[in-house]
Amino acid sequence: MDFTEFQRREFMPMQGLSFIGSGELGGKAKGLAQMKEMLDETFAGGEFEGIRVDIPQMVVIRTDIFDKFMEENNLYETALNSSDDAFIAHEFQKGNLSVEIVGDLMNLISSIRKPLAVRSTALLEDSLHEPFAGVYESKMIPNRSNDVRTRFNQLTEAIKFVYSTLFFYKAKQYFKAIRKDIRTEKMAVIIQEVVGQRYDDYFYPTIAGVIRSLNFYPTGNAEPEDGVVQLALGMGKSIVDGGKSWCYSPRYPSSPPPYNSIKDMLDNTQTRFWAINMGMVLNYDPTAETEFMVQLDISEAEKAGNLDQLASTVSVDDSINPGLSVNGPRLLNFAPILQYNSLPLNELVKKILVNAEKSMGERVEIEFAMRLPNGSNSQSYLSGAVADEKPHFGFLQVRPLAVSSGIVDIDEDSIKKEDMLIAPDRAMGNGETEEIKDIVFLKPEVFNIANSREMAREIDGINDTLLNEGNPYLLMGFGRWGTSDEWLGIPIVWSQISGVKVIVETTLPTLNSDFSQGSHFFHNVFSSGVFYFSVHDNQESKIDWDWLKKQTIKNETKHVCHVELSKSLTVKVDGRSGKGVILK
Amino acid sequence: MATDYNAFKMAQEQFDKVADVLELDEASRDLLRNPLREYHVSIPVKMDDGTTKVFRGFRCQHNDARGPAKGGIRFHPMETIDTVRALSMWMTWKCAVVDIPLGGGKGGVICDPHNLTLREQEQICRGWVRQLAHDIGPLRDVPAPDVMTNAQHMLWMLDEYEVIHGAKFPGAITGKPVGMGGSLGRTEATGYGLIFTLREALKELGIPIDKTTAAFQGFGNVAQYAIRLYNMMKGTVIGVSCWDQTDQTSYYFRKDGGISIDELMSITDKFGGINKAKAKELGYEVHPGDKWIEEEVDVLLPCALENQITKDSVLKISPKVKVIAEGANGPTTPEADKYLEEHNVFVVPDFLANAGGVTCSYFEQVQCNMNYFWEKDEVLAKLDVKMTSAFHEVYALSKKRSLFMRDAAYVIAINRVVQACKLRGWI
Repeated sequence: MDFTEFQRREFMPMQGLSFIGSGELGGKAKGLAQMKEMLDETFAGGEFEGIRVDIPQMVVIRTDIFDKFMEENNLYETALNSSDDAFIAHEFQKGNLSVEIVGDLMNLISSIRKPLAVRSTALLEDSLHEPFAGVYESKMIPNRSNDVRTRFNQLTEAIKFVYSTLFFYKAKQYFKAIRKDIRTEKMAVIIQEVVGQRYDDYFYPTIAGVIRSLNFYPTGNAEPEDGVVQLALGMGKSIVDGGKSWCYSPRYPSSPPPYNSIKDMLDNTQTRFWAINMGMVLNYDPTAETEFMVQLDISEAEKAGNLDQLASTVSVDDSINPGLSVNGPRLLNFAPILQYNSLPLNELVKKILVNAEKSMGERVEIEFAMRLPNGSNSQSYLSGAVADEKPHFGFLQVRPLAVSSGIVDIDEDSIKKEDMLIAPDRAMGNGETEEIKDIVFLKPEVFNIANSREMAREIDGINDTLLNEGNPYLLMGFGRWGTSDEWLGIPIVWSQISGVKVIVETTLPTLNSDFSQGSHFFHNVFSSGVFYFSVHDNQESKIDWDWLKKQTIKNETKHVCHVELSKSLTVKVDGRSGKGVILK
Repeated sequence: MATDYNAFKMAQEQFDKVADVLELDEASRDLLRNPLREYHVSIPVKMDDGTTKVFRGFRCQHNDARGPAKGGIRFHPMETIDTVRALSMWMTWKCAVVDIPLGGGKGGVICDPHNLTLREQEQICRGWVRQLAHDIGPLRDVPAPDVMTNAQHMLWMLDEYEVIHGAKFPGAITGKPVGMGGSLGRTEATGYGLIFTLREALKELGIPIDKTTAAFQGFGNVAQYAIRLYNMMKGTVIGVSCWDQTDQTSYYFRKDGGISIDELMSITDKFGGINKAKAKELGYEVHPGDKWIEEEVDVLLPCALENQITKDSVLKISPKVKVIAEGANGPTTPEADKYLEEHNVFVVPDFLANAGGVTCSYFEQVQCNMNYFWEKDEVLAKLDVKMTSAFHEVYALSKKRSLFMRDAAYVIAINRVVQACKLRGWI
């Protein structure tokens, strides 16, 4: 355990990992303590080939402070009974933090003037070994005001906001899905320095990244065990929210993702990025996650000199030129780093991945942020201070990747065609289940992609019912699930399908868009042990629609049908071969 | 209580001792041994029974070199001008030791509110202000609640002051009700402040607070909030003593495993007296009030009256006691102090330990002056930081110059006031 008790007089500047309170640290903080040991052992002097590697300094407010906050302000009733996130967030803002810690917080905020991230580190993340990715919200605060009162209020508001997100709709749905009582959850909070640099009114890291030690969507020669890395410019929110990022295998860092064309690649490249707003904030709203965040065009980063190592340029002849030496649209493929090794980031990533897995004893997901000292317009937030010229790799989070380890054999020859409900082209996940008796599907006869948002809402309602009944279900529809483009599939978010156990995406003659590929949304689906099937239902029928239509309809809306089976389905997926089957 | 006790004499003795340490010149001593100004007033009140009664009142402004005088106003049948003088002097040191820009004042009226109707009390409040309206105010002298006065009394006083001056002056009086110019956190401030300093003292002594036990004298506002915060920090309170209005004596309530503040609050009357019979039913032992001082605990917290730890009673203190944190004003006599110093008992002196109230009053005044009120988190956070840093300044000096904590606190406070007087060219 590398955490030490927060000491006011020794906190200038912030030193390492410390805590306030006496309860639990929560899963995320415990994971970071373990990673601190790993980093200390792996990187002598905290460096790797000229890159500073560390866990940014942080303080954890332990779970007993959350308990006191909830009890002293009588918040459980509101938190559990209201379904209005904004109302809950406002009620939490009215509460007072425990008198035991406010002095420590005032001291902390008085001694630091860097932007801070306030994140959850919840108890059940640790005890259940559940990933809880994206279930609770975080908040970034600029912490730049000359008035310590303003900074203190921003910090306490952020803590209360993070507390309140435990009771947001999304979290409640998640708890229903994992069949746990939300009252057993307790929240600790991490207050951590943000890695990055200030450029005029914005503060952001040059690179944010997520590393996973198992790739659910391996392409080309890559194997699932090679893992996968997502990189983006700016704050990690771009990746966490499933926005556009660059995805690569650490074994083949120069192989691009499987885009069909340069145009496709440009359509999917990052064009906007998140930063912390260090300037005037016009909308005071402590209940908004993005109160102090701003989304910028990548041209802002180019002006600041931050694209030099991150971008390539597509020239008129459709060739991709690493760097910014020619005119043309910018492609954020990190080519100078990944193809020309201008920075040994990939070697560092591989080393961290191997050692983090070894330390945790399981598959992991890691979040990091990097500051590269190449910003020509960078300025320190402290007047006169000279920016550190060494690249800085900040290890932000580690969490277990939930993967079933059971080996499933599927003998296709022994399966009779009439027993099959679905014969997929591709299946993802790994394992077997016989607990599905409910199927929710989009009615093909009325399907019109123009109504995709309406369909998402209808599914949300049925998901609620099934969650309340405790029935996991199979969800089948056309196009990409979870797309942000409503013309390519169903723009649904995880909380609207949180009770799902099996997802099937298929095609219609009128809608033949490519299936979705490894966004953060799908990671959540897989982390929750959901099986995912892709079926090109073209010439030969691979889905037994006739059988499906004969089943008992339990609920039906304009676009969605819910049938209940008399006998459970058998669902099998072999994660090694990508084969799967759903038997009636 | 010893009959020859004179609070003002004691305050002067304490001052003289530190004046010697600081080698103060004669003029500084002359100026600071006595109040700069004192007012004696008569307040005629038409009583509810139709008679007219005249009450005697005082206001002492000991020193205002560092800012407007600040101090409570007490209603007590045994009030004397010497007590008020001493308390005003202690207020000067208290404001200086926590480094807030205020001087020291104190006021009082000889009366017993227990025998007065609310209307009669209101007339005393308004009468007192009518006599002193031109000598107090946000820029001169700011009264606050004290013994047997509360937020309601302060609001009557403020109202009278504003009527006389024909304008709103919310910063003229502090300790007002929340929503009427009062500050959040003011009720808790003295008790919490006491525990903030105790927490720091225990840290310095290397004693984990969650392993400590304590006994309290007094069960008023200060003790109640101090007990709550001490319990939050996982300390165990073994007993509390409190005044019984019916029996006109005090009792000490104890339980081996620790008292429950909520349990005792549920059987406490409006004067802060705990019901003896019900306490016994709940498993409490009931002893004579002075028994608290003999308790075998780590910490003693006198939070009631002055002159409680004397040359005689100090001998009854258990050798187990490591710290005395003084919630009350002047609970320890100089002779007892000497004994405590010789026996290595760490004392958090009154004017440091109970400065949370005046610190929060200062916050209230600041908020009133800007007419913008802070969240409770912010008030208590600032209070904690202020009290903690004041403690450490005193502690650092006591270590550096091998001084008893009280003397170190006096050295800091008196030096600050002397410097202010010198800078103003008074001496």
